[in-house]
Amino acid sequence: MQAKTKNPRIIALIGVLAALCLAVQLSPRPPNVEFTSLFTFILGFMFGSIIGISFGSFVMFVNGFVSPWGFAGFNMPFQIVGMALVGLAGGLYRRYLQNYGSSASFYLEVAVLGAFLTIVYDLVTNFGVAVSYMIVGMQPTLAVMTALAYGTPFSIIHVISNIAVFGVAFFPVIKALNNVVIVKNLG
Amino acid sequence: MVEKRTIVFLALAILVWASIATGSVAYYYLEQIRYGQQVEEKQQLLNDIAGNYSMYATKRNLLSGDYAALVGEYQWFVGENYSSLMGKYGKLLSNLKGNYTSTLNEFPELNETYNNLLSEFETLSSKSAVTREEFGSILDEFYKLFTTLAIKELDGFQDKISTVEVSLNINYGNQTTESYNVSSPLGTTLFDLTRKIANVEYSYWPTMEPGHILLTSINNYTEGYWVWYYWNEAENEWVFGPVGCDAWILRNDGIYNWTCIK
Repeated sequence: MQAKTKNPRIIALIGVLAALCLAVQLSPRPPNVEFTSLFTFILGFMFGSIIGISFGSFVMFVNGFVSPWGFAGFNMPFQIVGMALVGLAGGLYRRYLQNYGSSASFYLEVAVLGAFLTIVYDLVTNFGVAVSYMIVGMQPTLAVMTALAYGTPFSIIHVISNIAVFGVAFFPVIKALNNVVIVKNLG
Repeated sequence: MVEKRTIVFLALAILVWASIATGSVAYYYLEQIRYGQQVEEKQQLLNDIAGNYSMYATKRNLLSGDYAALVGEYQWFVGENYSSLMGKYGKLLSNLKGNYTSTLNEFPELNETYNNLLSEFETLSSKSAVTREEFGSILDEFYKLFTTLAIKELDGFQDKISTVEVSLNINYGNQTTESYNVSSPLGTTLFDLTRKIANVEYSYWPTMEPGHILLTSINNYTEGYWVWYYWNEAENEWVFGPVGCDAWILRNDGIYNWTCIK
């Protein structure tokens, strides 16, 4: 009976957070300043890697169609994989962490992790751009180099903003979620 | 003793730094290559312009010299029949065509002026006697055409490095107005621009100066007379086009208006 009530609640929570993520994604903001990575990481952290991967994939799938920057097209699978990795990392981090507090070192640790995951995400999506260059006939080495190089200014913005977002928001959100009844019920 | 955990996160931080640094170096390198190519293209363009200008100056000077010699002969000519100078004039006209073929092909109104001049020359050549006034007239027309062609060709060199931004409205006089904001090469006339953005029919008036063109239709609309105005910013008013549209050089940020008056 308990198992039956868990899944719908998890799905509902994922739905609400996905809607929240998409609302943020669609709102006017500087390029590459986003909160989806944080939410995906948090869901992975709170409910395990599978949920994190599903959440990240789903959000990026929907975002690929409705993003104000246009249809993601060929890059969408790479965005999905990149965000799924963030969700996976959230689950793995929870396992690795065992117990956690809210000391300054944890904030710093999560900020570094956020930066690292952002770099991974950008590498994956930039590789997607490189593949699209290759398809139109660019030499593979040049395509990868061009995509990574011209993605760097955006990556810098992305990394800096995610260092701030992860470093500042991760523990307060975790704390808040732990206090939400629905999460407590989920165990 | 440093914790293993600290080392792991330190390694991750270094990895992030290394990735960004590598990407930045690659970005800088590619941008350097791109700027280098742009500079090379500009340099090539400047070299081309310098080469073309040199050619332009040479042929202009040669034609000017030939023209000056003929004018000298004309002025010091003793007698009443100038037909003996017609051969030299014909050669001058032929040299003009040979040196400015591409410019004549590019500007149909100038080509028409040339053809009219050629026709006038052939008519006079067929006559047994040519008066001083008749020869003086075609000599003047030659000089006007020659200087116009030289200016057009010079403008063509400048086109490659500079453009003007202009607005052109076409008011059909039936509540329909079309507006265009376009970039155009320096030296473009209102006629050139109008031909570029619309389907234009025109009549050529040899006696009208400066400019010989009157538009008879724009985009096949012929229900009236087409006149043009320019916007005078200082006076804040539309000013009726004072010359033929083919003699009016567009200025940057200029606003022009074609209106069909019934």
